[in-house]
Amino acid sequence: MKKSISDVTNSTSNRSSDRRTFLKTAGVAGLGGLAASTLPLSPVFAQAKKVVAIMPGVFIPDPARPIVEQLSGVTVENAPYVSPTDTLAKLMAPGGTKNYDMMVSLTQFVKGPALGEKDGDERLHALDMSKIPNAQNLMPLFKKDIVTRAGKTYMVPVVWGYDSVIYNADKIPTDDPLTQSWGVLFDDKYKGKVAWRDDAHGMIMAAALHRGHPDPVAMDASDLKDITAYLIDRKKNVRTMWTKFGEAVNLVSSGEVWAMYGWIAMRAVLQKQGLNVTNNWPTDGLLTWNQSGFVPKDSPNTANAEAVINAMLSKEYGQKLTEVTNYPSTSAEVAALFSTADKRKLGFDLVDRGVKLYGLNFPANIDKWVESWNIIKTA
Amino acid sequence: MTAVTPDRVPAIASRRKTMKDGGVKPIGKPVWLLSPGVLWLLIFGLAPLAFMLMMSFWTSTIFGTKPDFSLDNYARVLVTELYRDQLFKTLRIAFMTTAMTVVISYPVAYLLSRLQGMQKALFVLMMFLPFWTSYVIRAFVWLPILGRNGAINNALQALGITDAPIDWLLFNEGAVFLGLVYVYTLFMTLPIYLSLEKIDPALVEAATDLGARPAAVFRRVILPLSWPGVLSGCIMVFLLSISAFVTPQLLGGPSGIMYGNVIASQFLANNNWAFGSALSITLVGIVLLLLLISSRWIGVQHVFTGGRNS
Repeated sequence: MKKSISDVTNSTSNRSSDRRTFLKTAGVAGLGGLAASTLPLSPVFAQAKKVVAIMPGVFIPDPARPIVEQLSGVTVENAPYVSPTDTLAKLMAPGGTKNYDMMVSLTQFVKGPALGEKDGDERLHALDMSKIPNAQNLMPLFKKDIVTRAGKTYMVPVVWGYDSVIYNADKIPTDDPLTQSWGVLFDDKYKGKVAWRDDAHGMIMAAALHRGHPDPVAMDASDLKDITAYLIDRKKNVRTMWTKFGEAVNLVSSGEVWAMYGWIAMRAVLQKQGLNVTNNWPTDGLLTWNQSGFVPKDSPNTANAEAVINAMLSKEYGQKLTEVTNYPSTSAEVAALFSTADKRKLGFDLVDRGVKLYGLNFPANIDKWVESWNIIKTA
Repeated sequence: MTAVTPDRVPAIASRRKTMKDGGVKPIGKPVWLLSPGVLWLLIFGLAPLAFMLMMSFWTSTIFGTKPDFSLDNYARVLVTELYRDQLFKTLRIAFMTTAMTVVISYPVAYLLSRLQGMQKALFVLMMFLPFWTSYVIRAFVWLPILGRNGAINNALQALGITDAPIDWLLFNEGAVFLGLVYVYTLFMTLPIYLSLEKIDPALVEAATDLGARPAAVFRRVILPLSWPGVLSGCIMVFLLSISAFVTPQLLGGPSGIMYGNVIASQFLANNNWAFGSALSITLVGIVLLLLLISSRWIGVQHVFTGGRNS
């Protein structure tokens, strides 16, 4: 039976309570045995197996962690996560390929540096795909994003998402045509009531799409100059720019702004706070991204890491992750578990609906993008 | 009446005399005792700086940082208007923040030096209390105070002073100054307070006995003797302000950018460590230059000699 997202979200607290009870009992009966008998997820639960992982905490929320650990039989020990840049820096640092067993980060951002310029430069372990059978269930949209070189697979998308305009529907009517595009962030109509993200990549990309650029990532210097001038001109409408998740959520929840460039999880958190917040599906192009699981080249626990990546592609984990955080799994099996209404809300049906998607790929001249962004902020 | 400068303090002169006349004399020259300090400076002070200097000549691409030797990063810093503008803007903000912090901190430190017993303890506690939390929280706390639906706007509307929220309380350069001054006040107050505490009350009494009015006593005795503390505070606040990036980001709004943010963006968004290092080294160079130039007029050496003009 397909459950609605609200049913599931509302039952999260009860489930947390169940989980506490479960853990208490497990302490007496023996965690491994109980896990095997109560959750038919894994034949073996070996505490001794573990991986040290770097990944955003949101991708392994408390309710989903036991599922991953039981399915893989591996304990996931999370090293502190800061950002994709930091994750990449840790991988590229001397000894970085052996300090961690697995990582999950932005595919588009990491793949270039992690693979290196040519065959043989890879800082990643070539995955044994026979140990990641769930990769066969990837949605067609993400199969093309599996990172390979010379017949070897290095990265597999496990979670995806999109950046759009998050707005308070009590303040901005959903039938306002501006809400159908990124225009709500740029138009004079909501002057002083909008927040941009302090991020060169996302904001320049959104502005370029809004200006009708067919392929922002390929913009030349002249195009970039035009977009820079446009954003400088539109900056007068911006209340502030956010950098961190909590800061952004607070801007909307406190009423400081009505609309902002935002992430899926922000929508989920604001809705849980009781605000009538929604996101748009910009007709000028929804910015999509995905995060891949990968294993540093010299990890001593490659098999464990592959088991965890496989578990992260399971329908059990994917369903829980999507329910708790609203971040969709890349697995087609997970998408099939949700009702039509929830698929629409979560974005599983974007392709079917014909929403224009644009991948948040990294431009080769990101250096110039960052410089342009600083010029915009300085202006 | 001649102003009392730190090198004229009689107590110091008499202490030196006592040492000459046969106090405890050091045996040999135990230079090795300096080794922990020297080691600390080498590891935590010079080594990172040297590494940053070295990296500033390297080149960064999306595949990482290559140990080449190139002056391109510095050329880019010098010829690009953005970096020059940001540098000047940041210097201006740092100077103004330092000046505002002195104006606020000196009276506070003076008051603190006059208090005694429990009153002093309470005052010090109140001063330190906000600093037990993190820097980010101290900056973030202004959002619910100055925001559209913040405490000040709510109070003004409740009192009927305004009809609608005032927008200009937050997300502009004024809010950045407020945040910086609030966050760095302690770094100015403490050294001034310590300087004031060291002043021998007999000097103040002597000046008064010789007919100096309170204003003259302050100008010619107290201020000169507390000057090393003021300078020390100024240097600390200036250095902290010039490298600030959290406060302008949180409180500055769409134009909340300082040189520190430009540097941060090279490391956090661009992965261009080489250029970020060049920007950082440029800032270090300019600060050193400013200290050298200013030492000709304002006695920066007092800060480093603890008030003794050796």
